[in-house]
Amino acid sequence: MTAETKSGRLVLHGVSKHYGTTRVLDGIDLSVESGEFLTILGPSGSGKTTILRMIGGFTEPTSGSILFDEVDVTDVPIHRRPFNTVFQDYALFPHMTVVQNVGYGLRVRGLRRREIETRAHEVLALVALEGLEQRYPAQLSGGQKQRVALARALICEPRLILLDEPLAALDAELRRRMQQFLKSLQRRVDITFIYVTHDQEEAIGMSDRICVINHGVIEQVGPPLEVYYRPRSGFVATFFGDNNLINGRVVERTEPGIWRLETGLGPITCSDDLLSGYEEGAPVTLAVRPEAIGLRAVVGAGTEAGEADNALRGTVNRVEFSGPISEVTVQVGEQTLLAKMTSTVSALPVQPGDAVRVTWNSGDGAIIAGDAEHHYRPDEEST
Amino acid sequence: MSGPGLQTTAAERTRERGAELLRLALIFGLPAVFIVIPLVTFLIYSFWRVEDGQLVREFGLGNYVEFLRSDSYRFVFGRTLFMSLQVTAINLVLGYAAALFISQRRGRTKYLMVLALIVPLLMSYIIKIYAMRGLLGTNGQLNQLLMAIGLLSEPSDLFLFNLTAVRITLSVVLLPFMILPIFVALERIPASFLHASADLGASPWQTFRLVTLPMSLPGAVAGAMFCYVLASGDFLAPELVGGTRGFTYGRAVFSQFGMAFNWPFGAALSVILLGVAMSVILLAGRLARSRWADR
Repeated sequence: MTAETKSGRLVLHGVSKHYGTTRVLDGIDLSVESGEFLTILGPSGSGKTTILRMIGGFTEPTSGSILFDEVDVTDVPIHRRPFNTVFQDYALFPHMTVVQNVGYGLRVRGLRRREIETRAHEVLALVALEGLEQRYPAQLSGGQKQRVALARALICEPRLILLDEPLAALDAELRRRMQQFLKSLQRRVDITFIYVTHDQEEAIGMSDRICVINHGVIEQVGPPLEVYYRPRSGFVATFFGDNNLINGRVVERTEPGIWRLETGLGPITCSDDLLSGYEEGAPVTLAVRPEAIGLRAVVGAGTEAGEADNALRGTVNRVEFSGPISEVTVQVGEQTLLAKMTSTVSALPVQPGDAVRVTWNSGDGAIIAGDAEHHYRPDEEST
Repeated sequence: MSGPGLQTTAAERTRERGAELLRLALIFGLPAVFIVIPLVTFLIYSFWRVEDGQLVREFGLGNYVEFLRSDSYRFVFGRTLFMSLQVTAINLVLGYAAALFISQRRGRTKYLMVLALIVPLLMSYIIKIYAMRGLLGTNGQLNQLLMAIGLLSEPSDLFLFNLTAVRITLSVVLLPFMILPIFVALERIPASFLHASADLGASPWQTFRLVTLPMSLPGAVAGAMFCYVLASGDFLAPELVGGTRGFTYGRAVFSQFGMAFNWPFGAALSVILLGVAMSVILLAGRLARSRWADR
């Protein structure tokens, strides 16, 4: 360990956790790069916290190994791991003041009291908590506790900080501010952050990469934009907001850069970059975001294609006005498609029963291998 | 007009207030009658005196003066308080270790152990003391064990009918009172505190010293208080296993009532012990009330 390598690379190799016959985690392979802000995102019960607990050393994996800078740390006891955790309930020691809590990691390392206090003040300044040194945790607000917990982890100069839904207990406004704070802090201190949350917006707003996990299996790992716009499974496609999933199969390349898909809604064109690696005849699912869809009125019996690459005829089922965005569901053949329209006066004032043309560009959307289904329903999460 | 309606409400309100007062009188009055009145009676008795077997109902501090003048009473008093301190100290160490051991067991084992602690509390006190007497006697199991492992060549009479016998008996009998509050205190420490401590680099011993021990201290204080108060006032155990050498303050009080028929002096001795017990309870309350818990 040299002084320059402040943060390290963490690799999970085939990590599984079984309780009896229940598989909480199944064959997790994940590498977290040095200095990265990685979010493990999944619904409750997906196993995301278990991953964090195994990295921290609080839970032993049933099989697999955890490597840190090429060193196997799977069997290293908690107190010898160069990681620190910010717990969901903060776990601040109630019988110690703020400065004692923050200095705890240095105290158990045998540092002198004066040095501990000097460094505790520095770290408290970093999290903007000067002046609260002599308070007890019970005298702090939720946001302050959260920052004390962060300071307590930072003072140990760990190479990796694990954060277990640290903002879950805060109200919405404070949560937004803490998100920005955490992100800028992570850049300043240049420590690898592994952050667990069930909140998609939080994940998209803060992370360098997101690891989406469901039922103990990694669904997809990638930067926020990629996970949002290029989901590789039905779960990921529908976990980040609404999505229209259209099952079909690859037919042929009609012109350079454009492929034709045969779907239940008829032929659909799709651009090359979505379809790389698929062969003709392969079953695929096209996922199109509701906000990528446009609606046009059908004038007479006209069949003009307009400017959009795809145009399907349908009938408006339902219009839901909710402030800036209106949600319109359109029946197209057997399937219902959802479109989200900006509520402007000039936008098409569609009404249920109207015949419309549903349009989108062939470059919008994502291709998922196989016949994907809507795996995620927000109302399932509470179970 | 609403006049009659209002009058009814006022009457109802008065009735309700009456019912409320009655309820409060029952809730606070009954314990007061059964606890405070006997204590006050004792207090009053302690200022009276007995002359020629007759109770003289005159106020005076004679009984207290007699206690302070008498070397033997003060000696027994001091010795009993010191012995109670020893019993408390022994039980603090044993009880803490036992409570820690139990709290670290898992699931069913843990609760079977707690149950095993509670069962003796439901048993008759006298039976427990007689059992201890059998254990400690010349032919008792303790002597047999010590001879079997070769520590003694012949049975020792050091374990019965002296103050050591009282110490051992009280320690054993009062141990659950020490273990239970400590166990409860340990159980109430969330695992995340222990995890956080280890996460910050503390060894298991450091976690124990800096987190577990301070956070379970209120339980230890409560246990010590129970032990001390119960040990200092006990007269049955010294009576049955103490013999002539194991004379304690509780026996002194008992003899004033049972043999000397000097109730006023016995009452004065009781009041003095009660004063000690109250002081210990107040002190324990102050120690257990942490600066951080109720903020």
